[in-house]
Parts: sequence; structure tokens; C-alpha cells
Amino acid sequence: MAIKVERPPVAGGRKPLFPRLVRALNRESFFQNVLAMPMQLLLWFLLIIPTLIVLYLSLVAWEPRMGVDWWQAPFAWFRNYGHVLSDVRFWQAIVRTIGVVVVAVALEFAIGLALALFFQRDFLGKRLFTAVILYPMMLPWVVVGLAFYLLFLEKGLVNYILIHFLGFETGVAWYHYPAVALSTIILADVWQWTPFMFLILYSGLGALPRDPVEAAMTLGASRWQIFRYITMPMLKQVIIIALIIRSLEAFKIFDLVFIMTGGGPGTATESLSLYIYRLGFVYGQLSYAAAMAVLILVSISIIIRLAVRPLEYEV
Amino acid sequence: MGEKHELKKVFRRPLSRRDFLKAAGGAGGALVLGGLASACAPAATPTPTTAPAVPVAAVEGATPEERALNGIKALKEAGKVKDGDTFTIMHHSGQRNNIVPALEEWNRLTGLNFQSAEVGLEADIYTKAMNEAVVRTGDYDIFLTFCNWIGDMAEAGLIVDQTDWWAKYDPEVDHGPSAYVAPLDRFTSLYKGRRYALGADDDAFSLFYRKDIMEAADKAAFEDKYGRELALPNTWEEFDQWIEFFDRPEEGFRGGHMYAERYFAYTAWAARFISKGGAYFDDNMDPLIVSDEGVTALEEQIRLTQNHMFEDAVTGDWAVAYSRFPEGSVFFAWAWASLGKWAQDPETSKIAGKVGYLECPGTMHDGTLIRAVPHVVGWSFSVSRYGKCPEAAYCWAQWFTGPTVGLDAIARVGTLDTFRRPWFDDEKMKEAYGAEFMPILLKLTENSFADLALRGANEYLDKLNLNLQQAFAGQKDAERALRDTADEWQKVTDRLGRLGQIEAWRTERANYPQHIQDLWKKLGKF
Amino acid sequence: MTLIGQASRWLGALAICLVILLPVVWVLSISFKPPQEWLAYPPTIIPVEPTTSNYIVLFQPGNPVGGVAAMVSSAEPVTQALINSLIIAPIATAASVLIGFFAAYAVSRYRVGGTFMPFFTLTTRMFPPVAFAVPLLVYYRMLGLIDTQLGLILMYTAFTVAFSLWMMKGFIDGVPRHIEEAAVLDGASPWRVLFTITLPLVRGGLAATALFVFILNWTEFLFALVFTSREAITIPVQVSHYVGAVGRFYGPQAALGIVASIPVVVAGYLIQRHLVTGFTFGLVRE
Repeated sequence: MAIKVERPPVAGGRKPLFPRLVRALNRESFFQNVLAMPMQLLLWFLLIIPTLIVLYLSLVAWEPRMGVDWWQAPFAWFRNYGHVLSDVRFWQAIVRTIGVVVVAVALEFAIGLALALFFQRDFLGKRLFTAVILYPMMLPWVVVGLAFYLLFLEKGLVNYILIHFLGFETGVAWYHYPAVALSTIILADVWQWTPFMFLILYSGLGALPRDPVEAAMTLGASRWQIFRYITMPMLKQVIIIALIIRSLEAFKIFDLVFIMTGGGPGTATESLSLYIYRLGFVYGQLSYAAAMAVLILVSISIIIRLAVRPLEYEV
Repeated sequence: MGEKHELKKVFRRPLSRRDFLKAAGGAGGALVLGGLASACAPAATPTPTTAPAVPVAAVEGATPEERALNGIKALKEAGKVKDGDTFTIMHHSGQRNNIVPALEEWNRLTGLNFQSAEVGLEADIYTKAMNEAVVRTGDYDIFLTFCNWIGDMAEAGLIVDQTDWWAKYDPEVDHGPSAYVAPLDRFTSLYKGRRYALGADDDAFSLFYRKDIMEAADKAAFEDKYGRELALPNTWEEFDQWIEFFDRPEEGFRGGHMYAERYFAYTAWAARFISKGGAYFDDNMDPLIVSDEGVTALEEQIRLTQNHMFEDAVTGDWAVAYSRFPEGSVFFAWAWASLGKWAQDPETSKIAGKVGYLECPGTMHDGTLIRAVPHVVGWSFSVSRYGKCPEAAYCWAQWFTGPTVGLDAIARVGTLDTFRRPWFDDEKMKEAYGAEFMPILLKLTENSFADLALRGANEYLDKLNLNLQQAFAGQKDAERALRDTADEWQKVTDRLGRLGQIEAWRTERANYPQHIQDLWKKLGKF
Repeated sequence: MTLIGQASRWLGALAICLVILLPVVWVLSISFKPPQEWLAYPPTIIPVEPTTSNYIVLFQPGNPVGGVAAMVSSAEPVTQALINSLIIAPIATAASVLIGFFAAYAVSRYRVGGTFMPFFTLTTRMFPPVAFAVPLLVYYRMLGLIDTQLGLILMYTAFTVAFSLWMMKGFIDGVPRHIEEAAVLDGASPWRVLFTITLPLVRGGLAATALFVFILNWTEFLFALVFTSREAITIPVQVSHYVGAVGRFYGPQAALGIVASIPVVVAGYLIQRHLVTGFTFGLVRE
């Protein structure tokens, strides 16, 4: 369909000062590239050189305390990568972290969706309640970590409640047993980040067109059917994005672990990020940490690539 | 892997660049071999060209403080610094109260502009310092760090060898009437036989107990049970009984709080281990921790931890001791000297006036009691190579730790504790710590030994802690925990270059208190 | 809706909020407790001897916390960190959301960069930050951006733009094209369509994205720690400064946490109105 019309000039009836420039600005090929330009410039400018340095580091044997500059370090080629693959602590951290991601994100999604649906209808004081629900993610992580650390201390509030109100004989040694310690960390994470799921799903739900729902209702569909066959498919985009974003962040879980258990006892609750932190900043093995980071990047990329695929067929 | 074997390997093939870098951290290979031959041979600084080349001649002035100020004067005259030059000190937030008031005074006296840059988590100081070694911004002139980090910082080329300045300015650390308490004078500053830092702290681990409860105790019951009179314990065996006796879990009152957590779990074990005659490594850097001494020490400590302490000795952070003891829910606590200040202050403590102090228990060896006290952390000043004028920065450190200025600064509330000998008799200090505590703290300090202070100290200690915490939490038995540690240590040593580590360890073990070195000799260790 | 329905909903919301509020109340309670009570057992929700000194030391350092001489918290006043955060986080957020919105539009409508580009941006969130910190530090040293506000702004923009892009893409995808096409047929330029048609339709999504990105920028700790020394420290770094010889000063840390959350709460409350609108306004009734 060729729309060959004498278009009225852009701004009202005034004739543009530089008609050619305006036409050039409005040409679609220019328009679309200009739109994406700032982001590309920013990312390339800021990240390409550090990324190259990471790649380089992953191929050399270097630690700052060797007393040589990183660009002078001897090449190890792929030895760092080999060591990563045979590093038991690394694999344990991977499995543990994936477990945390799956459990935490699933919980956050379920609770977040329930809350978002619940808040679709209007009721008294809704705005205030929404503000309260969003509050946990607004606190600095250090403070969230500290609050939960103190709550679950042996002589903390939670044990106090257990003993004095729920009739427990003794408190629970929350940080002592790996599974229990991990659960407290997951709990803190769910507490802090369910609001995020809520936020996205809530605004996603709010943005859905009403007609299909209304149409279905007139056709006598049940609430569940509407939710299952109309709302959810329309929300799919937002859901997948929310899940991806949250999983990526949860995969880097560090703050809560660092403050609440320090990864302990031993390495029983050590997350991948915490292990890399130890490698890079405590053990000083920066090139080894770089190799590990590259491996992680590559494998997550593949997974996310698969997760993103459904989105591409949509629009 | 023996030393001979290592040597042969090095001689057999020409030193490759990698070997060279690994072993020497940039120093001459010959120097390293020389260092092997005599343990105390001077280590080369990573890039010798920038080491301070000063004539060895004392600067005028009667006290360290005066000499430091005169030093600044001379540096100004030489045009190396001028009024208003900005210098930055990286330190822990907990020391602000010690440092900042002194900074203002110093700036007034010198006309320079020294400022503080604080870091909140101890571990982040290491991180930021090592990052500075990589990127060299020159944003920092002095670091106040754990004294066992100087190996890493020196090898990374970050900090300057201060030995010549010590000769030039004489900080009066190891001699004179106001010297540091030995062996603090050595291990807070020495790495490979050179002075890389100036100590500003005393962190001999101190032992506190509830005097009132012990006095009120049923002495006959104790005698019946253990066959000896109730008295302060001298040996670890007596100590264990003592803790057991006062442990009353049914009343919510536990025998003790000793660190078994992620960062300081090694302290209690190390005290036992060293007093039994153990040493971390032999002279070839092969770990000696999987030995009778090591395993027994750990088994004893595990028993104590699992039976007579609150769970959070294992899972809490170090600050837990600072609430458990003053709130009166444990009989005994073992931590830094600052716990003494805290526990005897009626404002913060429910047990003020009821705190007793004791010397660290030891082990009997042929009728001699050998005590060994872990010295944990030990903040000390090191000077950045990339700062504006390292020598001026050094002068600040000397001025701050001087006998008069330091006394005032350390007496203020903060994480730095008293370290010069005369300060232990000072009224101000007695008031801050408790008069009864000072003589005990002095003895503890005299018997203290440093954290591992090799290159990679942070890594060695973290891996030790990790395994010990697992043992305390019941996830590993003592021997396996120590064996795992030893295996990991071997890997670290090989990665960092065994030759260099051997040199560092041999010089480090000479910083242990004399009686421990004698014991090692008697046991045929070294 | 019936009155009973209203009431039950209201009660339900109240219950949910109480659960969510428990840790918040705990933080709030600590922020008003003197040092002796921070770890006291049995723990109390309402401070026994409430004090405002935790808040006062934030602005007047050198005061002993809770009047306890041994608890001198002498960290710098929060003023500078507060100002830095108030400059860095909003600017970085605005930049990130705008840049992300434009890019998302290009991706959603024109498939600019194919499937690779949007995916590529996500990698900025996959990298373990610790491994990236030192190389970025090396680069920042070359640029002279260490310990500057600009440095953190650039970094935060770059690290959150992927989220802006993806969240905005999700929302833009949801806007039916025919609305825009109609405008084009009416002779509007693409710029005009973008700003007058699409932007208002996704403003709920924009608000949600902005809030999320702002929170990320406002609470980021690791890079703020590594890349600042004195001049550009932000609130989360400042929080970590409240420690002493006897451990963390939980009171001032909690107090600063509460203070630091105020701007986010205000921002959240202000944009809430936009969260729901979505495009129920412009679109449905056509």
C-alpha cells in the first residue's frame, strides 16, 4: 500500500525550517536506527573493553600478588577453564544456586501473581496496601540481610516466637543445617523480591485489553477459563520477561548469603556469586575467576536464548 | 615435595619466565636462592628501583613524633611536599574515632591535608587495596590493614619497604623504653625479613570469665568431680573441665563462647595446636596440621563447641560474643581486648564488675607450661608506592603510633588497642580496659603468635576456617577437616610458588615467641 | 462490589501486609533501640527505652549511639552519600529507561538488530559482577572515572538498560500496531507516533520499569564500593560504615535503611497512579 500523499508538515501547519532535514529525520530506516543507537553506543563504549580484558584474563595465569602486571602475565590458555570444570566447589555452588533460583523464583512468581490478581479489583485503601507490598524491595540489601540475619539468630525473634507462642521446646538452629539455612536465605529473597513480580504482573494485568475478557464473559466462560485461556496467554510475554529478569538476578544471589550465613557452615550454603567473590577478592585468583565467569556467561546465554525463543515468534 | 627436589628442579632447567615470576614475584632469581640459603636474607622488593634510597642517618628529634614532624619539614624544604597537599588514609570505619581527631592535629602541625577514606567491612579493605595494586590510581597514600595482608600487598608491588625509613626516623618499635611489647615489634611489620608495615594495634586474643559465678561456685562439687581444687585453669585439660563445670544448658547459661564461625574459627584451635608444639608448615611448606597435635587440638575444641556453647558460636558472626558475654548468658568468652572494655562498662553490660581475666591455658611439656596466644588481625600501617609522597605518608604513621600521640589516639574508643609497653601502666588505659586486665593483657601479648602472614595469607586462612567450621558444625571429622585443609594449602603453595613461600615461612616462624621456637627445636621440628 | 466483598478484600489485604510488614517493623524497631537492645533476648518489638539517637548520629556523627560512650559512631555524616545517591540514581534511571524505551521500540516495531541485539544486552546481567569489577576498574582508570558521580551514572545506566529494554519491549509488544498505523495514515511522522501515541499507552509499563530500575540503582552496593573512595560514595556504602570495635551498629544501619527507603517510597507512591492505567484509556473503546 503506497501512501503517496503530500503529507502535511509535521508540526501543525507551519512549514519546517529545514524540510530536507525533517524528511531525513523521519525516514524510517533512519528513525529505527537512531532509536537503538544510544543503547548500542553506551554498551559498546562502556563494556567492550572490560569484556575483552575479562576474556584475556581468563587465558592467563595471573593474580595481583604475583607482582606482575596483568598484561605481562604468562599465558595459561585454556588451563583455567579446565580447572574450573574439575572444581568440585564450583559444581556444588552451581547446583545449589540453581536450586535456590528455581525455588525462590517459583515462589515469587506464584505469590506475586496471586497478589496481582487480588489487587485487580478496587477496594478501600488499595493504594496504601500496594505501597506496603512494594516496600520490601525498596530497602537497601544490607538492611534486608541484617534484618533477616537478626530474625533467625539462635536468640532472635523467630525462635522466640516459636518457643513462647507456638510451643516449641527449643529454638531452631537456623544457620546450622545446610537445607534449613538455605531455606532462610530463600525466604529472605522471596520476601525481598516478590514485590518485583507483583509490580510487573500487576502493571501487566492492568495493561491488558478488556474486550476479550468481556466477550468471554458474555459467552458465559468461568473465571478460571477466562484466566487460563484469555488472561494468561495475553500475559505470557510479561510473564516470561519477569521470570527471566528475576532468574538472572536470583542467579547472582550474594548479599543475603554473605550476610546471613557467609556461605557456611563451611561451603554448605555458598552461592556461585559468593564463590566467585571469594576467588576474586579473597583468594586473589582473578584470572581463574574470569574463566569461571566466562563459562557461566556462555552457559546462561544458551539457556536464556532458549527461554527467549518463544518471545520471538510472538509479535 | 622436598626442598632439595624443588631446588634441583629449578637448577636443572633454565628458569623459565613463569618460574621466575612465580618464585620471585619480580625479584632476581639469584636473590631467591640466596634467600633460601639464609632464612633471614633480605627479600627484594618487587621493583627495587622505586624502593626508597635514603642515606641511613637519623633525623633530628627526641621522640618518634618529633622526628616525623622534622621529616615533613625536611621533605617540604626538599620540595617533595608542599602545604595543602592531600593524602588519603584507607582504614576501617571502626578506627575513625582513633584516627580522625589525630588527623586534624597532624594537619595543623604540618600544613598538609591528610584525610580519611573509611571502609566498612574489614574484608573490603583487602579488596580495595589489592584493586589499587592493579589500577594504581594513587588515590590512597596509606593503608591500615590486617598485618597478615602485608605479604600480598608487598608482593603485588603495592606497598613500600619501610626498612630504610625505620633506620632514618626510628619509630622506636623494637628498642628503647617505649618499645612495642615483644613479639608485636616483629610480626606486625615484618615480611621476608623486611619492615613493610608499622603496627598500630594489639590483638592478642583475650580470655574473660565470670568472676562472681566462679567465686560462688560449689567448690566441693568441683573437687569431687575432677579431683583437684577449683582454680583458674592453666592447661587445656583443666580448661575443658572448667568450662564443662560451669555449663548449665538447662538454665540457658552456657560454658563459653569461642569462635567457631566462618571467619575466626581457627583461633581457638590454633591456640591449642601451637601450644602442643604444632606448627603450620615444615621448612618445605608441607603442612604439619594433619598431625597428632592438630587432630587432638581440633577434637578437643569440637567437643567443647558442640557440648558447651550456644549454636551461634558456629553460625553467628564475630560480634555475637559481644552480646553473649555482656548479657550474662555465658561463663567464658574469648575475643579481642575490646570485649574487656565492653564487658566492664555498666552502660553496655549487665555484668560490669563481675568480669575476671585469665591467661591463655597452655600445654605441659616436660614440666614447662607452654602458652600460645593467637594474635588475630593486628591493624598496621603500610604505605602505598603510588601515593604522592610515600615518605611523608610514612611520617604520619610514625607520628600516629608514637608514644605520646598514640596513647591518646588508642585510648579513644575504636578498634585499635594498646601496644607500647609503657601504655600498659598508664592510668588512661587502665581506666578504659580495667586495671586488673592490663597485666593479663600484657602477658597474653607476650605469648602471642601472629596469623599466618605469608603471601596468600587470606586464602590459607579462609580455607582453614572453612574446613574447621564444617568440623565444628559436625559435617566433617577432625582429621578429614585438617587433611582437606592441608591438601588445599598444598595447591595454594604450588600456585604461588613454593620457593618464595618457603622463604617467607622461614622468616615468619622466627617471629614466634621464643619459648615456642625453643619448643619446636626440642621436638625436632626445625 | 458488595460491601461484604469490599470488607473481605480489605481484610485479606491487611493480612498480607502484616506478614510483609513483620521484618519491616523489626527494622524500624531496631532503628529506635539503644545498643543494649539490638541483640537482647527476649527480643521486643517495641523498644524498652526508645531512642532517636540512631537517627541523630546519621547527621551528627560523634554522638555516642544511645548515649553509650563506647558506641561512638563517627562515620562521616550521611549528607554527602545522600546527595550522591540522589544525583546518581535518578539520572541513571532516567537515562536507562529512556534509552531502553527507544531501543525497545526499535526492537519491537522494526526488529532492529534482529534477535541478537536484545539478547546481547541481557548478557550484561548474566555476568557475575565480581569478575567484571576489576577489568572495568582498569578501564575506568584510563577514563579517569573512578570515584566520580558520572562514572557511577554511566555504569548504572549500562547495567540496567537491558532491563529497561526488555520490560519496555514487553509493554510495547502489547500495544496493537493498528493504532500506530492509523496515526501514520493520518500523516503523523514516526517521531510523533512514538511520543504521542505509543508513549502514553505504555506509561504504566514505563512507570513500573522506572521504579524497578531506580530501586536497583538506589540499592546497588558492590560497584559503588569498588569504584568509590571518598567523593562518590552512595547510601548502601554508607550503611556499611556504621561499625565499631564491637561489631555492626545495627541501630544506625537500620535507621539509615529506613531513611534511604523514603525516596523510593515517595517515588513509588507518586507513580503508582500510572502503574494501573496501562492502555485501558486510549485503546479499548475504539
